[in-house]
Amino acid sequence: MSRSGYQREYHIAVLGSGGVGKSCLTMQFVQGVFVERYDPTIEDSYRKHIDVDGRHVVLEIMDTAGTEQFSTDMYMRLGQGFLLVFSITSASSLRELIDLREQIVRTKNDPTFPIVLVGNKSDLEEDRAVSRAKAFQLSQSWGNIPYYETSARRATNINEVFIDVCRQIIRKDLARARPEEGGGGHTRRRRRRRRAGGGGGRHEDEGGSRCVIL
Amino acid sequence: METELETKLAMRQRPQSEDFKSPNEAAGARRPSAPLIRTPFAATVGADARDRKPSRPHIHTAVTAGFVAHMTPPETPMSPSPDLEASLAPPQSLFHNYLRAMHPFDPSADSMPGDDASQSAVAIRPGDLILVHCIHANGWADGTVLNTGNRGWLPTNYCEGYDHPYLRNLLNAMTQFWDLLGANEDANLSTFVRQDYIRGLIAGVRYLLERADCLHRDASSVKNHVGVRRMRKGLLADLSSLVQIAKRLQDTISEPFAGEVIHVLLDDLICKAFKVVTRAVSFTDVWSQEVRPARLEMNRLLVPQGLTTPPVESPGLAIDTSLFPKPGVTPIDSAVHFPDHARTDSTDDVAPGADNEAENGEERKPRLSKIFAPPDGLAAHRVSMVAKDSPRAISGPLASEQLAKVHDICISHIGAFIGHHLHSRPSSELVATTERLVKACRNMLAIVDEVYAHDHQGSRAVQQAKSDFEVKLEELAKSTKDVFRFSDSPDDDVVMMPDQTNHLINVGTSLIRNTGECVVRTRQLIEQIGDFELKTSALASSRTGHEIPERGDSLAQNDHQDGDSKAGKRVSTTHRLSKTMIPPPPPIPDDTPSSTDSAVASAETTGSGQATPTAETSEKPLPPPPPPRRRSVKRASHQSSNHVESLKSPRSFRSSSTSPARKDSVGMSIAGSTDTCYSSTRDSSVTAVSQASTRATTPDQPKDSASSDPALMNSFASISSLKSGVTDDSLDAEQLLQKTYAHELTFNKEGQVAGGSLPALVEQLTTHDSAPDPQFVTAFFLTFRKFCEPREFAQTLIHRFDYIGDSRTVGTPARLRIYNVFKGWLETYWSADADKDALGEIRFFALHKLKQVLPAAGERLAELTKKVTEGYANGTITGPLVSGVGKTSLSFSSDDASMPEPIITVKQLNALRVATGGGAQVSILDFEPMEIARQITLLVVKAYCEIRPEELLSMDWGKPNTKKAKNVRKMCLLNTDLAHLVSDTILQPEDAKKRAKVIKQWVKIGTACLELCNYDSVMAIMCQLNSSPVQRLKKTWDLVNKKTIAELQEIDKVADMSRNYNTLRRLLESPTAPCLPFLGVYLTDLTFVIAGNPKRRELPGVLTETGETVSVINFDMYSRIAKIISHLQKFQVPYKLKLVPEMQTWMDQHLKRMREGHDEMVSTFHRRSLTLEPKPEDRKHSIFRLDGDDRPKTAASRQEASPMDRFDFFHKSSSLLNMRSQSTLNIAASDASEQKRASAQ
Repeated sequence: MSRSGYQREYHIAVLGSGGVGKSCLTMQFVQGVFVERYDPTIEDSYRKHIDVDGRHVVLEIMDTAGTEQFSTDMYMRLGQGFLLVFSITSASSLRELIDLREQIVRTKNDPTFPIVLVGNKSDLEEDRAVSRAKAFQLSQSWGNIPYYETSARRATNINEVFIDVCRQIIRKDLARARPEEGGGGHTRRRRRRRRAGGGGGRHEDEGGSRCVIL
Repeated sequence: METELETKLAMRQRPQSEDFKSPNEAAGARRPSAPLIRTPFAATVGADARDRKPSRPHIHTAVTAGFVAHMTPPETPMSPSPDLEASLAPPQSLFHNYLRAMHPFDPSADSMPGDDASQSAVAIRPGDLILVHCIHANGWADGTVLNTGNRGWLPTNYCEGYDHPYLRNLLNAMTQFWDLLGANEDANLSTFVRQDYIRGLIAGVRYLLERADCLHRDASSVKNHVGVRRMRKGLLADLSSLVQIAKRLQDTISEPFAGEVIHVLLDDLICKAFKVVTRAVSFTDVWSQEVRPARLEMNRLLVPQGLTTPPVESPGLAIDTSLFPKPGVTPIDSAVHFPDHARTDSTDDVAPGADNEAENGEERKPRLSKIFAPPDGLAAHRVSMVAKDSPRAISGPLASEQLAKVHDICISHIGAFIGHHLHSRPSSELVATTERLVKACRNMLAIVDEVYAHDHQGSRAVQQAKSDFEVKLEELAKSTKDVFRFSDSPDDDVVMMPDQTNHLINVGTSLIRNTGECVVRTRQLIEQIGDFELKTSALASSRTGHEIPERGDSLAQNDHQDGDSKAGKRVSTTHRLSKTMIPPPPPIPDDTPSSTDSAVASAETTGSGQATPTAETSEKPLPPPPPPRRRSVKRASHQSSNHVESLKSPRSFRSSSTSPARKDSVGMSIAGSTDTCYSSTRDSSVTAVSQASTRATTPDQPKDSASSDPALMNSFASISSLKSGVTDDSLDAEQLLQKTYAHELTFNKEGQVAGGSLPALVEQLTTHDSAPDPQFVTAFFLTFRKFCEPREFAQTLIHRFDYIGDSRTVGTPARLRIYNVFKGWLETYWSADADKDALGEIRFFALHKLKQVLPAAGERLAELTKKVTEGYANGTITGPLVSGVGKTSLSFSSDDASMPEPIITVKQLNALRVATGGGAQVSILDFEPMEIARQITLLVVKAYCEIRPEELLSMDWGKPNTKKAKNVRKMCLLNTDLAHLVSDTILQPEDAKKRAKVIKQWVKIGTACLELCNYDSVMAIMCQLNSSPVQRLKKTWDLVNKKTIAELQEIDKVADMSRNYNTLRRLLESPTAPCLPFLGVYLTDLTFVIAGNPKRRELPGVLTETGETVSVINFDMYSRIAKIISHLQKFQVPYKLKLVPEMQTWMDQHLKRMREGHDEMVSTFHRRSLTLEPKPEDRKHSIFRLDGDDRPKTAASRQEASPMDRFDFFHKSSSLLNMRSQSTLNIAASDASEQKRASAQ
């Protein structure tokens, strides 16, 4: 599917139990600079344009902050990538992610779905309740997904986690596009040209691969 | 695959600029013989140019809407960039908002009559205070002379930056006041409904007097120093007349005929404000001369005093008095800096001024050099303000304006670029369009670069935005190039694939965003470092000497070009154009006017310097810049009635309206639409008044004696009684000096409180002159516990009660308001737990303070506290005595007639009774969907109405065992339980057909909920119908009929949570209660308002004496919180529906069952789902399902497309700008689906 390369808007769901600093994480990413007036009620409040490996993408962040107790099915359905956030100061917040991860895998029916494990509040090292090794081990057991430790307060690793999950989504897109690339792309291309009444079918191979990149 | 990808990526990243280096060649080589491929859509529209046009502005407005406010549309005149001076000047120096003239400067004396420069420049006299709008690098500043109200160019080397620690607050308030007036020039007059805007000025004066130890009439420094006493009196008189005008404005503004009268009043208002400030400066001068030395050297206390003569006689800083020579006057009013005969010299000639400059030359030199020297170009701090006002008076391309301009151009080119793709046009045009676009963008980058380079710190944000922008531009260029990659022969048609088109459109769109981002960041930076004139854009008509600029040497510009000839051409055209519009500011006079000769010489140079460029650049004399309109308060009085003090006009004018004859003159001035007519009318009225009524005093010192002048007093009194009938001693200026914290308050652009210290906020809550803004009061009461302790709040209120005093005009009304605040707190906003501590304070206050002053009020308040105390004692108190804000609107009329009859039969009721009693169970299918929806709604609305504001503020609902947010939690659980019930019922029947029926039933219930505006339940139902355990039941969904699917799609649109719940928010904008919004939206909003806004903010422009910024409560955030809560409360209204107890009990039982299994529910459903319809073997099939789109819904209305395409479409469509591109896409999507079907076979 050549067109999948053009799909540049991704929904990223930020999940995790209450109080792990999800909202700050999202704020830090979407907002970057601290402003005196932030209005979360407008349409673009959670959208951000970034470049991932030279590709421009629009991310819409769906943060469950404040609504953790509601059913997460909506987020599961719309999310194309997930940040599973816990606080390194709370072991239970990590445990709660196990269920969430399971739910993602179930919903998406795919154990390799784009997920990043995020240990937030890394600035509170003295209160650490989850060792790095333990979190890493969990991430390994989940199909070797990336594990990051972030600090929303100090703005460390924030962009990285979003970019990482974004990269995974793009990779997945490309992988999915590949098997169908061959015959399909050509058929389509030819028809397109015919309709245009334009030139012949030159450079088809080249054209096919180009589409994938874009 | 990985490596292949990398190679390709590398290919992409390779610079592709060759194409744009020789664009003509490229275009020529590929000149197409036929138009580009047309999408069917474009074909129907036609490639006609007329059709094409509208799309561009459309895109433009849509995308730039956010920046429109910053744009400065009029062509800004350019002026020579003084390279030489710039290089000599220190890199960055403090920008002074205020200057003080040190030497006289009179443009009319220096230049030929009729010379435009004499009109754009403004006369200054030593001692004049000047509000600076911007400073040109050559040393000329655009400023308003507060003493005369005139605005124009003035030489900064004749002035000195003015700042005084005591005056800082006042000057700050003045600047803000000016900006406020500037912002309100057009429509929004709501600010003036209240008098908040004036409090800053009052507070400033008070601060000054307090610091100077002159707050009280009886203070020793006031008593012992005649000059101080008089100046103080004058200052207070001015202040009180300012307040009078503000009051009048407040009264007038609400009247229907307000219109023009208001502008007249606004003029008066600003005049008065100027007057207050100049008077304050004079006061400071006198004070520092009389009192400070006295304070410093107590022993020689008598010396300065003995020397002073009565300052009444001093023409000093009273504005126009220097026109009248006063022999024998001692200049006690002029500050230490001012030599005596600078005052006594009454002419405006340069020479005498220069004389005394000569005397003081050496002394002044060092000061002058450090005044300020903007690095290059113009400097202005308040960009927003400049953008509004400058076109009239400024003649220099400010960075901000230049930026706006290039941004405009950029956007329109990108618009053209996108337009190109929307209407398939020949590819040659594409090349040209892209080329233009890239050039425009590079121009913009050049400006951004310059701004960036200007800032010594180097702003990261700008850099980031800039590099983003560059990357995007690169991508666009590259993508465009890609289009041509496959046509190797020159006459080959370039075939555009629709996806290429889409891609290019996408890139273009995001480029617009990047442009916007870049501009916004740069603008922020400009705001930070101060506006200045750009080198790039003025493009260096370099000066050959110090004084005489070389003008019209557009050739020289090319030296400074970056080689981009086209851009250069554009800019230089602008340059030339602007030159012909307004003459550049006159060159700066000699740097240090240390001798008469040099001063005169410089004046001459000025004259010739102005003449030369005019002759060179255009044949006929050019029109001078239009005089600044209302803001400048331009006066023609100097010639016509030069014995009338010009600043008298506001007051005379005000008093004029008391007599009918004067009213006529007001009418006249309104009728006269032009400025001239306007001011002349006003002048005549001034003359008339001065002759007729008020002039019992000496014409030169009316203000000083104002309050002692009985005639004047009477006129004031009559006015005030005329207005309100309440106050007659409101003129007592002393009362204006009530202690105030107004300087610790800051407002936003809409005039609402944005921040303030607690005392300042409390003051705002208990203003004496106008009822407090109800929105503010509500917001304060809802949220104050988040920023202060209730006890602290009570203490602050009591403190306010103490310091406000007991005067009839100020003290009493304010005290009554304080009482009302206490009362409102106890009755309506009392929080039993949180506020308990404050009760003692309030009780003590009621009994021992309030009762003494206002016995009835004290009694009432004591009674209230008693009631509350009793409530605590017997444990009955749970909330305020009277129900809260949202609840007051409740109407508990159980008017049965208006309620619809429940749709339920006796048989059904009986079945329900049996079921709840443990007998045979009933199914959800057995009942009318509407009735189920109604009963659900009743259940939910009950929980919703119980939610209390403090629960929301506690942010505690996320905790499982919360006590602070019980009802919020309950409501959330209800939502989840209902959701689980949906899944539970669907996943119960073994038979797929029956499952389909249950789905259908829930869809119907959902539709009914939608009808009832019960969005909370709609969300719950949709959430589960879309959940994976239900969605994966393919066999079941196959049995669901089309009508149900269509209904489902309708509901799904509402329940769509993407784009920040856009659909849902829209629906709630125009609420028709009863209505049940989805609680989750509020909870998210609250979470993010708190996460995204700082708790405290800095007061703009205010520094402590140690130079630190002052941080106050960021009330803006709290108003946002209050807004969200009020929105929620608005819907706390019961539904007019009849309860069916049987069904309620039955539903309750089931919901409870769900609650019990809460945690395991999700996995239970999944297991059940798998048992009912086991996983299909076909892996490939499941790939589609991954996306969760293998169902007959979501992206509604595209049933023909296969799941993948819908998926794609969903994400694409939202990022596109308009319907046109969507339809193009649609075609692409359906094409693709055909192709995929083919490949599947």
